[in-house]
Amino acid sequence: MISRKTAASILALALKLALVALLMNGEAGSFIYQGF
Amino acid sequence: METLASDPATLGVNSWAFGLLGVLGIVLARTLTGAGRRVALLACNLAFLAFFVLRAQEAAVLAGFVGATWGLARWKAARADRLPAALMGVVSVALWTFLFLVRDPELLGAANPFHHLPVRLVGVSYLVFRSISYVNEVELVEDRSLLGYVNYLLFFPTLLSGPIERWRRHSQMETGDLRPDDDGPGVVLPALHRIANGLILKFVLADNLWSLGIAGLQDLETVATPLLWFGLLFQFVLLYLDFAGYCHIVLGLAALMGFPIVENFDRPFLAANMQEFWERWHISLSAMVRDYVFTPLSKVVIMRAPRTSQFALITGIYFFSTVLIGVWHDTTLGFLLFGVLHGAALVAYQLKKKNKKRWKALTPFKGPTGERLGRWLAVGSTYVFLSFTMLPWILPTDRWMPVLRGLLPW
Repeated sequence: MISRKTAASILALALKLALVALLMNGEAGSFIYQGF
Repeated sequence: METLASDPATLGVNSWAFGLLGVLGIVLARTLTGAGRRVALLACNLAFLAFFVLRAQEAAVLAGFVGATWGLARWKAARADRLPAALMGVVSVALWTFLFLVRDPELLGAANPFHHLPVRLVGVSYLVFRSISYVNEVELVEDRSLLGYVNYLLFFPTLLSGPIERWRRHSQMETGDLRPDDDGPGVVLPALHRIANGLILKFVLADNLWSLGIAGLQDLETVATPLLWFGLLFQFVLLYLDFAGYCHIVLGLAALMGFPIVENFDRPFLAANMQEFWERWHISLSAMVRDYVFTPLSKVVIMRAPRTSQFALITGIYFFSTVLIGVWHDTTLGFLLFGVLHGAALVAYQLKKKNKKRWKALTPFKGPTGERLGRWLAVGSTYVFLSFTMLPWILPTDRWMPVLRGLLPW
C-alpha cells in the first residue's frame, strides 16, 4: 500500500517531468562546464 | 527526448542513449556484487567514453595517460617510505603541465608535443584532478588494480564535468562500503526528484532564459544600459542554473547506482566574500586546489619561512591558487584575468581579516542590526563583483571594452 505522502511525491515527479517535456529548449544539449 | 547535441562525438545527458545507459548502470550496480559489479561498471564507463573518443590518437593519448599515471602511483606506493615529500609537488606540476599542453596545442608553439597532433580528451581537466587524487591517496587504499583506477577515472555519471570525487571515497563506493545515507527503497524518489529538478534548472530555465544574460544579448553596443546591467547580473544566475542543473542530474543518477558523490554547491549566492564563495561554488574543485596546492605550499611556508614573512607568503599562495583555478578552466587571457580578479579579491579579504580590529573600528555597521545589514551589503557587493568577473570568462576579448563602456557610460 502506497502512503499518501509517496503518492503525492510520485505525482509531483510526474508533473516535473511533464514540465521538462513541454518546455525543454530544443537547441541546447551541452553544459558550460563540459568544455573544461 | 532525442539527443540534442550538434557535435556527433558527444552524448547529451538529456538523450535517450544516456537515459538507457543510466538505467543499465543502476540495474547492474544494484544487482551485482564484487568483481562482477566492477567489470559491469567498467563496461558502462567504456560504452559512455566511446561516444567521445572516436579517433585513434585520442584513444592512444588517453591510454598512455592512464598507463603512465597508474604506473607512477604503483611505483610511489611501493616506495612510499623512501620517497621525498616534494615528489607529489613534481607530479602535480607535471600533470598540470600535461593539462595545459593537451588542451591548448598552440601553447609553447612547436615545443608542445600536441602542436602537430592536437587531441580532444573528454573532461581532461577533471581527469587530471582525479589522477592527482589517485597518486596522492594510493597508499590509503588496498586496491591498486588497473580496473579500480580506470573505473574511478572514467566513472560515466561524472566524466563530463565532475563533481571531482577523491580516490579513497570512490573506491569505498565501488566496493559498496560507502553508500547513500538512506540506501533502501527510500533513496529512489528523492534521487528521481533530484534528476527532475536538474532537468528543469538546465533544460527549462537556463537554456530558455540564456538570451537574457550578457552572453546571449545581441548587438551589445546598441543595448540600453539598464538592460546591459540586467544581463550582467543575470548571467551569474544562468551559469548557476546550468552547472547546478548538471550536478543535480548526475548526483541523482549516481545515488540511484549507490554512489553518494560529493556535493558541488552550497547556496553560493549567500557568499559575503570571495573565500566564502569558493567554499560554496564548485566545491569539489576548490577543495582539490585547497588540499593539493594551497595546503602543501602553506605547510612549506610555515615550516621553512621566517615568521615575519609568513602572512605575505601565504597570502601569495592564496592568489596563486585562485589564478590556478582560473586557468584550470582554460589557458586563455579571459580565464587568466578571471583568476587574477578572484585572487586579488581573496588577497584583499585576507588583509581585511588581518586588520580585523582596525576594520571593526572603522565600519559604520555596528550592533546586531548593523552587522546584519553589513552582511547583506557584503553579500550584494560580492554578487556584483562576481558578475563583473564573468565578463572576461563569458565574452570574447574584443567585447570587454564596449560592454564596460555600455555599463558605465559616464
